[in-house]
Amino acid sequence: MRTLVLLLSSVLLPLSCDDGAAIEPPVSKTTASAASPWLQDVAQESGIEFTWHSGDSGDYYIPEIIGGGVAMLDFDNDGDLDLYFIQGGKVEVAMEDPDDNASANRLYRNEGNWRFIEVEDAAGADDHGYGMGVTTGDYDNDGDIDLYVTNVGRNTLLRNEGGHFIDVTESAGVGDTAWGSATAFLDYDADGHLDLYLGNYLAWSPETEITCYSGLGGEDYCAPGNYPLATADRLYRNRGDGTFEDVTALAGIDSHNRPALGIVAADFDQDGWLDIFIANDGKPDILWHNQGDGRFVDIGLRAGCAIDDDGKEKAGMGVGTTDIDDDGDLDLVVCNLTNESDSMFLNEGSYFIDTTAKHGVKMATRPYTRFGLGWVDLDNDGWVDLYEATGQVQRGANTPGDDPYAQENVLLKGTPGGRFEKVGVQGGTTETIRLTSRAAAFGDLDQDGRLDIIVINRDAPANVYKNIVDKPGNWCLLRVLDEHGRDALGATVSGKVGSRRLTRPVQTAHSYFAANDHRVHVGLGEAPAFQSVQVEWLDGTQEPFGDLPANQIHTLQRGQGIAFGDYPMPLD
Amino acid sequence: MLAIEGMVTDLGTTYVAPVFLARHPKYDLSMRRMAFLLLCSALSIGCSDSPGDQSPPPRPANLAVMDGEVRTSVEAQLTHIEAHPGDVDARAQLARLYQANNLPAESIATWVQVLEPNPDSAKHWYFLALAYYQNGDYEAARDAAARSRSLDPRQPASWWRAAFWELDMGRPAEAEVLARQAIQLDPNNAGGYVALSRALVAQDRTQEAIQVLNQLRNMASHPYILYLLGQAYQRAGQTEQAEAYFANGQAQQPRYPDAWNLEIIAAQRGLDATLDRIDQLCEDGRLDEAATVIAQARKTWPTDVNILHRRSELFRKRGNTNRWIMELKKALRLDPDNAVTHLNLSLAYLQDNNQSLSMNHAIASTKANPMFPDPHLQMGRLFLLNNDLPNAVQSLDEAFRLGVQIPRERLQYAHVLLRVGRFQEAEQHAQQVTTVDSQNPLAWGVLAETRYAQGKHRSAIEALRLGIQVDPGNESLLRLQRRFSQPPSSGQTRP
Repeated sequence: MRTLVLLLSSVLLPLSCDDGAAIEPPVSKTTASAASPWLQDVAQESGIEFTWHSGDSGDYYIPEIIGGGVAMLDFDNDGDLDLYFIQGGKVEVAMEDPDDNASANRLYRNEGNWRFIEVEDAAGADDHGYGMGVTTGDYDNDGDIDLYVTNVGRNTLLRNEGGHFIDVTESAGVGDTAWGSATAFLDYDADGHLDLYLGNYLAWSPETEITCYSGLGGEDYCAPGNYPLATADRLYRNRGDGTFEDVTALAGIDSHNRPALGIVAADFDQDGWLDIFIANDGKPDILWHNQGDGRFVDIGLRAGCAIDDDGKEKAGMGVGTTDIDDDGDLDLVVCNLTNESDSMFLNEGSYFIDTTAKHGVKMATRPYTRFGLGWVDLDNDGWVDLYEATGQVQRGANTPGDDPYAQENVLLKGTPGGRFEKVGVQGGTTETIRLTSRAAAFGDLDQDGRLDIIVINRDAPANVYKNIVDKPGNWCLLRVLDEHGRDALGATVSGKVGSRRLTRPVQTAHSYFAANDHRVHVGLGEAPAFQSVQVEWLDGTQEPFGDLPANQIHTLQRGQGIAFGDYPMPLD
Repeated sequence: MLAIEGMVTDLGTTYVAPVFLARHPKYDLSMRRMAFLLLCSALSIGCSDSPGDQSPPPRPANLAVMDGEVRTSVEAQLTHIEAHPGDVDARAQLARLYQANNLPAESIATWVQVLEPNPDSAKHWYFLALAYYQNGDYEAARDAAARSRSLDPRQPASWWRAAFWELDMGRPAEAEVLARQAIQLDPNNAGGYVALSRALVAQDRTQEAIQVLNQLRNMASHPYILYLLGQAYQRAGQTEQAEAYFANGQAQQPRYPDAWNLEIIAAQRGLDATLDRIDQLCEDGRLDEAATVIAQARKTWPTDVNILHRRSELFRKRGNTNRWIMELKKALRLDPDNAVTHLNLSLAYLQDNNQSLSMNHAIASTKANPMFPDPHLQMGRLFLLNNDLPNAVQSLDEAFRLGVQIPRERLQYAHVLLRVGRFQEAEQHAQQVTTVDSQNPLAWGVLAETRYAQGKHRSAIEALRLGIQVDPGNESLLRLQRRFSQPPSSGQTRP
């Protein structure tokens, strides 16, 4: 009988994890070919027809070029990932009265075998706001996944009641009416209830719109700096009774007004409290360091992750976090505008260093305007890859086709040397696809252990990318649950693959305006198991789960790991 | 002083990422480049003295999205070349136009045409290198820059830019060699020093990097140097120094002088380019030319507030405060809630000795953008002028909370904090100033006083000694010295 191992000491743990079990050490080598396509768009055959409508008015309203979002979530608790699409419409109409906006968010149920069926009225989640982003989490601890949708105008909290959604925004007190953007559920005060961080973008209305010109001389969308004011982000503390308290000022979040577009929450300094990284558009990114007393302090600049080596305040968009150098802490990547490369920040414990160039990512990403971002292992070789959904925000004169904002997406393959390399066809698809892409969500839609991707496009059908990597490595998919059976957002899972120890975060909020697979995906290369697995829970407690056989979905629930005495010692 | 101006390593263009469209699908850019490089090699060894390329110049795939000055200029140049296909100078101008206006792929193709009949032009190879870089093709940029250097090794920019590209490619050792050569060629160009320091940090040689950066600081003043010093100290494990530099050094990398690249800048068209040109002319003191450009720009973009800001700046530089104010009032009519206009008006009215209106506009600026630190600073100054210390400190608190990072202002703030008895905070700010500016005697004086006020006599005297060392005849410091040497009596710790 496995018992709770909360008291296991951190000194003993590494010894007990390094068990030397009779599993052949894997050779970490690339199994998938970088030359063949990795992704195939199966939107049509899977029955998904979704286009994010910008409502392009010809007036160059800036919201038209920023949205929209997508969530992968198991809303009906049947074990597979369903899809929730955030819709735009007519921004000025939606801001006036969302009910007059003809467009609504849409929900597709996963029927298996790449068949998706649209759910009528999105099971009550057919919000009519001019949609931007979305996040997922079980904020009421009732066992099903709830949704928070950000809009230009009032945001919407949708409580999941057994597969049907109810708009509880007003009663919960989270109906901020500014321009909501990046958002995440996170338990910042570690009280067992998911709190809510809301990133805001600009204080925009049609009246604040001005005329801007692109570098090519024509009228075009304005850069965010042309608008007078960004709106401060919001932090809502979950009271545990279905309502939230706005603790923005109390927590010190109101000390910055910066246009937020990307978010990840993780315990970057491993002090047992979730920190929050915010990517801002044209302003320094923020690293909210959780003080543990309900307050946050921005340490982005001194921690080395607010600006890049050029001292540049870049246009931060999508964000990702994982442990890229196998040292047990979480590193960061932020994607940005054309002529601004990604920023890859390596976590050195108390600060980050900009290692973008060292990883070969600087030159590979500079030509594109990147939004959705996945720092995930797409070919299951144990090395995280980098996928980025792209599309310009001002027109390019040499863009072929009808869409002057369109670009090819970026797919870079992670390699053992730490460098990222381009995959054969640009974007990893069977043929080059040029669209104006925004959100990208990552998850295993067909339960085959390979991560699939949904990409949202401006005024063009969403891509449903089935992962078709040839000869992928082994994998594990881990459902990490707290003692109540709720996804343990903010925890980390680590385990051995050969001589390496991989660490991966439990999170849904990363990328851009997206909610991703709630399960932790680990590529194992040729290893037959993810060995000496342990979960570090949000309170810093570590719990071992032993060796997990490859190519399976495992559930790791707090308190059901291996008891101290049951765990094989390396010298046995 | 060392020059930090001109062009950045980045061409500064944003939002547009042209992707090269191969006209022949199987003849991609890299193949074209390779073929061209081979051709040029052949030409350079005298195989041929080819006549000019008669092929039509490349056109943007989607000319329809271009407009205004950019489109007019490009179309005029294309028309001219079609009529005179052998006019290489016209092709070079087209290449510059493309390059300066975010069309790097077209620029590359045009430079290739320009270089075919004249492969020995170091400058054109250099422009080709810049275009490749702008297009994200680092390896090609590096090759073209190397070719440029082989033809004319005396241009520092073709060394330090290549050093930055090597850094971007993750090759700091190669960057170091190029940066050192750039410094040797032009010891007054900051580009080489910055590239060198970053190459050293990337190789974990932080102490050497600190030396280079301190050498640079003795020649130039720019907050980016402080930021780099902060990074270097952080990686060296000297956290306290790093904190001080970061607190005063948030800044984007400046532009470094690049004589050749001025030709590209001159080819920029459109509003942003016009504003840049006006700024440059003002900076160079060519005010009449700036006025002409402004007058023309006003006709093209009559409702643009930024142009009026430039015109007001022109009058400020000429000492005409009335017109300075008048132009800003015009700007305010166009955009009544523009925080920058209000701030500038506040500065102008202060210059005009109208403190009341100056304060009104500073307040209006904070209302228009509450997160803009500068008007809070301005309010702090105005309150200080009226000896209203409580309000001054309140405004300065807000300004620094919002992120002022100028050592001179920080010293002022430390002094105000000292005067209101917030000694510990005052000491912290003064210490940050002395860390990043150890040659400022007054900063040492303020630091000494903050310490003395807290009873830290020994460290106060040490700070004073360091200040006097910097400026032995400084009357303020000598007065402090006399005060510190007197036996303490009741109330004497009060500054």
